Amino acid sequence: MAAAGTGGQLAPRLEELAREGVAARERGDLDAAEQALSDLAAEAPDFLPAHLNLGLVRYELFDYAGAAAAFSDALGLDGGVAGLHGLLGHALLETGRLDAAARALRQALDGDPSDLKSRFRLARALIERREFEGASALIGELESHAPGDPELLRLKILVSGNRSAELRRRLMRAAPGTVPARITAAEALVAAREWDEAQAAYEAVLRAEPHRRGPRLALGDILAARGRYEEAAEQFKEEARLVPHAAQPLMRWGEALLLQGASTAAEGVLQRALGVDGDSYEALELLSRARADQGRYADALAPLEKAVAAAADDSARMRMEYQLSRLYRRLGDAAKASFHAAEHRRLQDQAADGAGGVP
Amino acid sequence: MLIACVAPCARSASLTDRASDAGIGFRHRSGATPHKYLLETMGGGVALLDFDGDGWLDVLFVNGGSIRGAPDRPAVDRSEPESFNRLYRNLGDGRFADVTDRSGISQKDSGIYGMGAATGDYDNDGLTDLVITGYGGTSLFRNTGGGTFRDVTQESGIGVPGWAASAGFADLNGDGLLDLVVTRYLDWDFDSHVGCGEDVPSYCPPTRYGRVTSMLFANDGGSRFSDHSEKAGLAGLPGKALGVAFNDLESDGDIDIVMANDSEPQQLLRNRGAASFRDVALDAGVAYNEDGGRFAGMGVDFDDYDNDGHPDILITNLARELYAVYRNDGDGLFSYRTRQSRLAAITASMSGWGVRLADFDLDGWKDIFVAQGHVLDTIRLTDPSLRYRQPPLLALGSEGRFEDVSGASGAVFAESLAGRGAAFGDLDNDGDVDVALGVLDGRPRVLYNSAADLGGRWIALRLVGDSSPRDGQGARISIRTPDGRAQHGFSSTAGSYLSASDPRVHFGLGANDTVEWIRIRWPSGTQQELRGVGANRYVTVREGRPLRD
Repeated sequence: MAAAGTGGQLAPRLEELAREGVAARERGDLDAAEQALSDLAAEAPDFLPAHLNLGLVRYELFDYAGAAAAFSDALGLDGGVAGLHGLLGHALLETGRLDAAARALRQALDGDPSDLKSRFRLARALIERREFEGASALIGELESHAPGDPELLRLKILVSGNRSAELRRRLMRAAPGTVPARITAAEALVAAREWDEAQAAYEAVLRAEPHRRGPRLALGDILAARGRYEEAAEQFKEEARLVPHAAQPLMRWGEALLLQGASTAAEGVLQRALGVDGDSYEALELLSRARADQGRYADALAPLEKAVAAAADDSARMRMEYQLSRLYRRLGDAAKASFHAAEHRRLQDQAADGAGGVP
Repeated sequence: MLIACVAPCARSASLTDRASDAGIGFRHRSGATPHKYLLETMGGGVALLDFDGDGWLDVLFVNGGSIRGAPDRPAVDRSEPESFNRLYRNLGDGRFADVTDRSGISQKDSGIYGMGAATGDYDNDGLTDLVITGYGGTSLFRNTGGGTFRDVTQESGIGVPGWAASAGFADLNGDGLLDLVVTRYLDWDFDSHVGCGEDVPSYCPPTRYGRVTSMLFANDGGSRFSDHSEKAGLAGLPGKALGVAFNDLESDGDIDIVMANDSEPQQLLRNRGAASFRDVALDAGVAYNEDGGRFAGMGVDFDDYDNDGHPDILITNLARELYAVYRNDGDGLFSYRTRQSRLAAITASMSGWGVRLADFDLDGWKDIFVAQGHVLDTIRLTDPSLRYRQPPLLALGSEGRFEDVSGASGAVFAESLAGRGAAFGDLDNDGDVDVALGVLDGRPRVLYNSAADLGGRWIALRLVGDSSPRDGQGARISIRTPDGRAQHGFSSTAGSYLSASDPRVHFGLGANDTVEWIRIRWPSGTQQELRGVGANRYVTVREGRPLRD
């Protein structure tokens, strides 16, 4: 993302902070840039470029939750900037808030239909939400706008749940040997559940670029799906070291620890994740689970109550309503246990209805 | 004398297949067709029963059959010997003799597609009787002695329409007679069959078919049963039940029931007395997994894996679902312990059927054996990360956690099999628990455990009821060893998947060479205590009478 200008009327001290922030970003000192721009945004809350630049710096720091907060603040000052909606959508997508991301990206496209990046990302958000029909329509539009874009082929593979070796071969031919091509191929292999090959592809990427951010998350996910939680935790832990401002690696590390039954260690890691992104409903839910595992049912309630209020979709809400019913049952509150059990049942029935008339 | 348990005396069990050497030539026939009838992938029950009372467990394999006839009128054909059930008599020297012809249990020409078996002495005559479940009929065979059974289904009053899966005997109303529970799977018949699979035909998921209720038959004595399903409350509890197991949930003396359901909530039926049941699974926390999700419950066991005196529940299911372990916390609630027990890591890619919690390595903690294999023979086409045939699993338990030792426990654990039923018991009377493993469309494995030969110490109880059922089913047993540890067992041939196991109750003793006390609570309520019993022996306990080895 390009740096936005710092124009506007500012007191000299604040002008200095703005210059400092931009200069630090230009020389690659993102932590110093983030500090200066945070100070600037706090002292000049009505100065839109402060929030915008802060969001961009945080995005580069992989602090997607922080970036989303800064872009939201900027939009609060001027909701008519289509590009800001796009930036917000990008950041939300990276935090896994798919509903909110899709909303922001649609607003970006309403304001600027030629914004291809937002169109690509909206398609990705819809695929992750398993709204394949909507994603396919967007991909169809992208074919006329950006026919040669390698991202397009990737989306096509993902939307079709593709299992075709031929498509994978096409993909590899498109950009043989490059790390991005290998990553795209690995993603296609994951979509096709060819885990042996996908794992090997990610490992090859990491051998070539051990400090590359991202592939470790995917590799960890594959290992976790195979029940190799300790190895998965190592990958997530390393990613968290490489990207200290991102909540996702910490959250997944915490989850991998929970899957090993290491609830105390998981609680510590999840607290760190929430330190980065305090609104992550997934991290809140996992924190609740870590506490419940330790028999601290009362302590487990608050994060879960907060998580269910923030849950992105009915599937997550259904899961959490069930957990709430279990916690209240443990705590001897039969009325609340029954209430949440009924909510769980309602969401379950709703999902079954939506699934197409299971007898 | 208390001896510290060092490496050689713990955490080793080796299971060796001797089916072929023993003269067991059975091969399961699923009758698989290109139409992919769901029946074809679900069968393969096994029973271990001492039908001739000679002290050696015999083996029954339940067969499916061929599916023949015009495409619009398919029917089950059991006319060929390859479609018969097979009963093998244990000769006591490692060999088995095929006694099917004489036994009368082949189900030749019955038109029934065989699924599973249940065993129990329902008429208290000292001979083990037999139920064979199936699609198209469930049959009660009375053991008439001399190696023969008589099909008494009609006259007994047992009638199970549709597709029955697992079954089990238990005295559910405390009258000293074994009652019978028969699970029914789903509302399927050849007419309602639908095709599934986009490019390649595959077996349909159970969600394509409706739910049905399982059945409870009360034993009225005089070899008569009456359908008690309505009074018991089962008639109002539809599901898709594949597995059933019994234990006393809350130590109130009434036997409770757990049923494994495929893609439906699991059921925990609390006995309110007189065989009247209420499903408490949701309140207790065993209806769903920890995410509140349904899963494909298939095999089940209901026993105490963490030695706290409360029976826990283990349910096998499909790959990615993680076998569900529910720890009974003793206050009416269960905790989902799949992650903490380490079964999540062990079973993430596994699909399980027959299952048992038993102390295979004789260290004093119950372990887990699971017959494994995916339900879909086409699974690799839709999910290349999974396998249709999988080796069985042996996971050793200790302090509420399990460790997968399959790789070091015998060649069978490297074999890719479509495992289904599994029955458990001491085939060679050496004190450890052996396994008979049913393989869909394959030859079974008869796995001899060498834990006792390797020096493991044990004690086992053979129970003879008086006012309780004669075969002792339903008795709860607790023991305490000199190291201060207690263990708890329950006599039941039910549990697992489609299978029936040894009614004798086995305990591993770790390094202990005696048992301080053994306490038995019989289904009648009679309590009995034995003190200072030496290790490595079968103890026959007669209800209310002094000990006699």
